[in-house]
Amino acid sequence: MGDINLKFIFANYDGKALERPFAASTLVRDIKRTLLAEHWPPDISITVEQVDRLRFFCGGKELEDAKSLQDQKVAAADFPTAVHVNTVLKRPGGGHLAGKHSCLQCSIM
Amino acid sequence: MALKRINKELQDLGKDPPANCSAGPIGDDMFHWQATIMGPSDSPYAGGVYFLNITFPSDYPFKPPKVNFTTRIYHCNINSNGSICLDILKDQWSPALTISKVLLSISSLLTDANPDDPLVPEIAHLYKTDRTRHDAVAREWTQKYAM
Repeated sequence: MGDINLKFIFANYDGKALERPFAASTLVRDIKRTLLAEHWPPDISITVEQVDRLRFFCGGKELEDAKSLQDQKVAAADFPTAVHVNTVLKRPGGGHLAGKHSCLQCSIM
Repeated sequence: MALKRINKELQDLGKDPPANCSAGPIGDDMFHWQATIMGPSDSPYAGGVYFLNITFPSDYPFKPPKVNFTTRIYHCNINSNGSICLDILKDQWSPALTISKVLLSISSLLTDANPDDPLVPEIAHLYKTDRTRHDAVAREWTQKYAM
């Protein structure tokens, strides 16, 4: 199996997206790690340190960490394959809270 | 006819994916899809991800698709069964609409609820009388069911 060109769409960050190829046999967990460690978009309003975890969605399904792209039928096409990225943010005092707005409201309360 | 149109919509979704929604067939049956909508940042659903089921009728696009939430959500136009009260899914459906446009409309409904045509009157009442409390409950549900 060859590479799949993935288009990561950062939901709720002004349509920010970036494209990177990954081998079809790559585990989703490793793609998340790579994205956080090497390819985090510099023009996005949150930093890697603020991220508790990432959730990936493709074709209406959530991608599972322990499986590879090909295991979950993520396939290459004539155009990059869209993967929507949902960022769950860290919250001081444990747990998690996602979205900059809810975080803001949380600190006001 | 329906199958050809559904295939075309799937291809268009791949070429030009909406910023907040992802959708596709669940298995080999092209008439049965699932979708995800990311809670809009300017709403109490921010940070949550909502799953939906989509069933296309055999005479699609002349009849609207059946769309319902499978993730619980606190919203006056969506009830506990996941049914959605939205005109374009009923009498205002047009064959010119697509599933992409339907998902965008649902996403807009999350930002701007329609409390004058509610499916859950109690939630609509709270929305109109105590918006702060309404949004706080909606955020609680987002954290509990959609994260």
